[in-house]
Amino acid sequence: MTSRRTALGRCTQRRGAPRTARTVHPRRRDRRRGATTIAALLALATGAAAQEGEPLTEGEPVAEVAAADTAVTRAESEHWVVERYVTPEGELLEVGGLDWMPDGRLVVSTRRGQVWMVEDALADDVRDARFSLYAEGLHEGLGLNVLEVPDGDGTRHALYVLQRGELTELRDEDGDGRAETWLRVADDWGLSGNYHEFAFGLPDDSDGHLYLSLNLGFLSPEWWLGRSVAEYRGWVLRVDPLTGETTPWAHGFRSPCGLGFDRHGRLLLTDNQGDWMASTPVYAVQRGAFHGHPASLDWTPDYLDNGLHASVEQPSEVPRTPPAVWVPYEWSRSAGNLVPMPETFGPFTDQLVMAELTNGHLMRVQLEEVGGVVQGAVLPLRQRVGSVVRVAFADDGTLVGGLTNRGWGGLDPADGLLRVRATGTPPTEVDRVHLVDGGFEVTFTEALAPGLPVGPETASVLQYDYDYWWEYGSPERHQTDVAVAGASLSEDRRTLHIEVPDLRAAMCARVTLHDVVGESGRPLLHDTFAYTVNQLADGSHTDELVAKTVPPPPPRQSGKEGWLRLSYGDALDAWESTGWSLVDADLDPDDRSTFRVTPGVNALVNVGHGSPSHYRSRWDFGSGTYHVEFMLPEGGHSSVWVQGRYAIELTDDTHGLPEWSHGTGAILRSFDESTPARPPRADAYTGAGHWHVLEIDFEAPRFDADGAKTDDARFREVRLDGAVIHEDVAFDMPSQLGLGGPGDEVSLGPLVIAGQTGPVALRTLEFRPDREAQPSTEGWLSLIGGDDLAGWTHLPPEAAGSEDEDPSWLLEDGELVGEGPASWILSPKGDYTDVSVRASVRVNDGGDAGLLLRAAVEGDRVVGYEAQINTSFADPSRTGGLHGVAPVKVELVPAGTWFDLEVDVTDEPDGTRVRIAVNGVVTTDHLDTSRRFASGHVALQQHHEGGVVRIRDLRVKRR
Amino acid sequence: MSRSPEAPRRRSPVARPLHRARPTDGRSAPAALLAALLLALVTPPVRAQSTDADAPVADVGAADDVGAAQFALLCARCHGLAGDGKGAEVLDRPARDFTAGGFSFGNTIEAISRTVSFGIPGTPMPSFGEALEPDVVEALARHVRTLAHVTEDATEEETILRVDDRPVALRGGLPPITEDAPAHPRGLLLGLPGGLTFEYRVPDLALLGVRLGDLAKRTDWTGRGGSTLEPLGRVVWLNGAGAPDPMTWASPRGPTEPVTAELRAIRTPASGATLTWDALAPDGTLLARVTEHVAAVSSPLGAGFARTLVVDGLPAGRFDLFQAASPGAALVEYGKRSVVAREEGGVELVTATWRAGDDQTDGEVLFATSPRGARLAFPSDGRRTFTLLTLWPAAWEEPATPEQETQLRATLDAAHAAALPEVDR
Repeated sequence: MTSRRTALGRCTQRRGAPRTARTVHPRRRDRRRGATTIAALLALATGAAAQEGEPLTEGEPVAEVAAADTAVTRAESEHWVVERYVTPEGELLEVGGLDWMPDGRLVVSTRRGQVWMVEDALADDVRDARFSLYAEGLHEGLGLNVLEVPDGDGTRHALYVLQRGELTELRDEDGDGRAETWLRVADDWGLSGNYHEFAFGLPDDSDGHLYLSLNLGFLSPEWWLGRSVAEYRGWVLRVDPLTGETTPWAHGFRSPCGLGFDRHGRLLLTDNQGDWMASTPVYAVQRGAFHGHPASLDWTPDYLDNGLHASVEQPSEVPRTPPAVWVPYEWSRSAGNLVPMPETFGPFTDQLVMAELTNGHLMRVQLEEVGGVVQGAVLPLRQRVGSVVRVAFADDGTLVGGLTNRGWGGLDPADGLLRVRATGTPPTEVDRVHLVDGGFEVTFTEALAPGLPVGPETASVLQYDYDYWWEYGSPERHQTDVAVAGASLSEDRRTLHIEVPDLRAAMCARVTLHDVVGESGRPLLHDTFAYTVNQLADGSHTDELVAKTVPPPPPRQSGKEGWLRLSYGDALDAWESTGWSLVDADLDPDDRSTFRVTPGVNALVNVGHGSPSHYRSRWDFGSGTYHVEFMLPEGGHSSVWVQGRYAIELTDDTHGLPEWSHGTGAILRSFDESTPARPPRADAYTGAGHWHVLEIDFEAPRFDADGAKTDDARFREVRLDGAVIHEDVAFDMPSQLGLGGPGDEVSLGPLVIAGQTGPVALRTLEFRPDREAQPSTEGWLSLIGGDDLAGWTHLPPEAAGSEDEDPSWLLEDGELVGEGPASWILSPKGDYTDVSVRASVRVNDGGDAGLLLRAAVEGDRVVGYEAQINTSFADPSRTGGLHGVAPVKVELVPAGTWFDLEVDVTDEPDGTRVRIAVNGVVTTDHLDTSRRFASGHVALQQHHEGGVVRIRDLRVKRR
Repeated sequence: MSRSPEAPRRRSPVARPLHRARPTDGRSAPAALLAALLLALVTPPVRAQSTDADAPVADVGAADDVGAAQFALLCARCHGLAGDGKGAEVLDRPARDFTAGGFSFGNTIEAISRTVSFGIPGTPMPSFGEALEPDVVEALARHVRTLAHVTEDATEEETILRVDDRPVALRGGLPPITEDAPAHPRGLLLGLPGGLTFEYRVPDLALLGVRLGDLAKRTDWTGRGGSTLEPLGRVVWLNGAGAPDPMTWASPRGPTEPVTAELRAIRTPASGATLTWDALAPDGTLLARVTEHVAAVSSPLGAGFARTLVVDGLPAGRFDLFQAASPGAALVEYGKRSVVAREEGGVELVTATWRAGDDQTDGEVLFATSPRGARLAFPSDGRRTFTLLTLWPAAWEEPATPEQETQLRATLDAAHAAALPEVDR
């Protein structure tokens, strides 16, 4: 293939002469390899005729762009001729901007940074149009405007092109037909270098300002969330081309590809479906307003002044301006600009043409104001013409369209120019749609046939709305057929009144007209329009929007899910203590200031000879709810220390309270005594010898990256036997005599119950950590994709199932279920080294299973670092421990209850660290100095027949 | 992703679906159909429609088979076997119709592979990255692209730009000029006939370096676009290791402040490339209008380049302009010229001339050299023209006699005179 020499530096053409002498490559054609095969095979299989269009050939006169004709597009072609320009051989015009010179030449700018002049663009024969290169070497050119500007006492026409990073005026000062002078007009916006940061434009308002819009960036790792990492990404800017002064105009956009003014001076903008954009919106842009995508809020004064960053995953509280029109998904995924229709184009009143580049449609959009809000209708005009992204009208009513879809795909043709002209046979179409009180008024381009029956069956109405959320696009929600009560025709038979009394605001309406025929005898060319009902026309007003914020995911199921039982089963395993025993206890009848203990399992008491220690948890906890059940003897005293630092007093008051005491439930005074003890708000303590439940909703202190505290520890609420005894207490320092010292605060710390200050009995000790409702999935890849286990290996191989045997492991509704006799299942990839795995797990009563990391087959077993999954099976090693190495014996999770398990394996200088967390609490932190397992699979074990283990949302993260 | 030699990897050689057999599974009939079609796909396909004879056919062979097979197995249930979105699975929104194009995140191999691996969070599109090897993911992406009729990208050759017989300005993002330098989203390459390219970052118009060779590759003409240019010339001169210091200015009794250069215009007529820029003080005050010409130079001494600055200054004060020596060089000071030994051999000879108005000399201009490079300091009011000439003599000897010195000066003066743009005469 010959090298592509551009004629950079060579301009042998006179102004206006067609370009010829260039060494070029053969023009590329559409390539359809595999698709043809599959389509043909499918056709064979189903008997349907494969739909294939003729690829477009260059150089031949084309009256029609005939890509995949349908009945409708054939009918459209009777009214609108679409012709394709012949672009210079070897050149690819990926159009980004279109405008007209005063001398009638068409100017075209492209994504390749070229600007072309087209002479005779309106010649009768489209092949007579002549292209000459005016400029090249620009950094894209996705907007262009030829603007009349003051020049001394008169005016001149200036040619502005919008590059990715600059608004530039091009001038040909030496008159050789090439713009050798590039004047920088404005570049006051940010570029981070992200590929997606296009700049689009470039309409002008009646004061001669130019408008441009800037895309967000899509960056790794969460590349599905648009971000505004450089100045004014996601904004519309207004530029005074004479001074370069740039004014931020509006924000809240994502990929705002099309800008244009309508005849009423409204700036209209199309954005692209994606995150926070349910479908393709057409906005009537409001100056200074937020239009929906939160990323660009970062550049508003509120956010800038306070150094805030808007979340791109949580909806913002900032009021948003809704789109005037939502274009239904089947008509558009990506739209370009809108341009008002001149009367010379067709029989339409006060409406616009919109470019659509994925389906390749030209659409009609019409707007009105209802209840002070801009809204309106959209419907097709001329479909499947190619990936048109820019449209502009010539004075004679010719519509010129520029094409491109490189990088995202769409209907071919994917580049070049086309023009659309009326054939002279006007179509029978819906002209204007107005929302009126109680329904719609639809005006047609001609009177309808006399005697045409008109009634409720003439129209059907479907309403729907969308979700407003970070997820990519939204399906139509709440689709509802709305009854049409009646329909009537005006006397001149040009206006149909459709009664839809139950029409709702803040929803779109898809209206289909049936059996409507014009007096010409032609049926309606397009029978369906979509109207966005932001407000009703009956004088009511709603604050709701069509795209409704979706409620957050439902909270975790109530009940025991999410709790960790710290004293169940092996009651002492989760605690460091000496002198405590599991016994039965009640008040000693002979000495009610102490307990009588007998062998049993109902209480933990610090009965030890010598001096018992405090009862201190083995593990460290943070924010969450602590549940401590206690019993005091007469005059007894103890205390409960959250994180070992924030204390609630437990003092029995049978014989009165000592001077320093404030009773059971009091918060002890602070370390430096600056904050006195706080007595409980209510007197809920009912005396010695009774069991009481103390619950503390605790919020751990927060620290910044340097370890300085940013938020105090807080008791959100403290309850004694259900009664609220404290609410919203902040600790500027720990309680006196807490662990560490006055300044020693931590995000995770042990739960300690004082055991050195007198006898105290404990029983149910539980903790429910605060968890995120939806933990981030950033960097976490799901191990279970699709609904089968392709790629997973079984050991023994029979566990994969056969004709006689069910498989031991299968996927049921997204849950991996393991049953049957002992078996293992290994992940497809076996090269995990430093890795984290997390899942929600549930095991039945008597079941036993394991989650292994760095697993490999050894003989007839699978070995690796095994996180135990066991509630009640005889094996003393329970959930939360590292099997065989660092077991956990307490029964943290009840049988049949979902819990979250996370296992991290990391190579460290002195060994391999294995961390296991249950419901977010680290219960195993073990260093394997022998480095037994270097790498391997993720595996799951099913231990014995009768056990059933279920795993949901199994995800892995390489580190 | 290293593999431990100790842990043997075993994989099931055949990817089989592991559904529990369900008697009421209504998919059994289409499953047989799928199996038949799958079989058809792995045999060499019969082309139902001829494609262009001159269209290069990529290596469809085995990779396409894997991609097609995996597609039928994993994707067709939602996207349909033809990729038209008409799969059997009922979803809350239509699965992408690849035949209609319009991919969520782009239709490049990279973008489709990433979508297959990660899924699209918040939609029914799941992630397959942990179930599939990377080469299978890529085969899938290639197959999806065939379904979508993605037109071929511009080839390597098509994106290479070369300068012909007139200067060329090329705007685009620039990659780092050296390992330690940053990338520049707003960049400029000025390419001259003969192969010299001047590389600027636009925000302050700092000259980063000079290259020799072809101009650049427009990689942003492929895929989704937006990537940096790939300058093709070899770096023959680097200004301060690619991250140069700005010009400075000091008012008569004030501190020295950095000057911001703000681009006003780029001109590339046949006669030569010029940049017009404003020199601004930090508070935005206009200090001077500058026109910068760059040109290639050839002289009896050797080849090189010239930078001519026509400075129309306003306020009283002094400008200080610095041109760094190529890194890794030892400097020998010669007063009116600096001679710097280059890493790759030979020397770099930098000389300067200047004019103020019509005067040929100006005693208030200082040209001095330092170990880091050559420095021009001059008053900031009035109009002055400076030419900094950088030559790379192939062979260099210090002039030993007054005659040799005179000869050298004459050669250099001639080179300077030739380098001045006609416009300024």
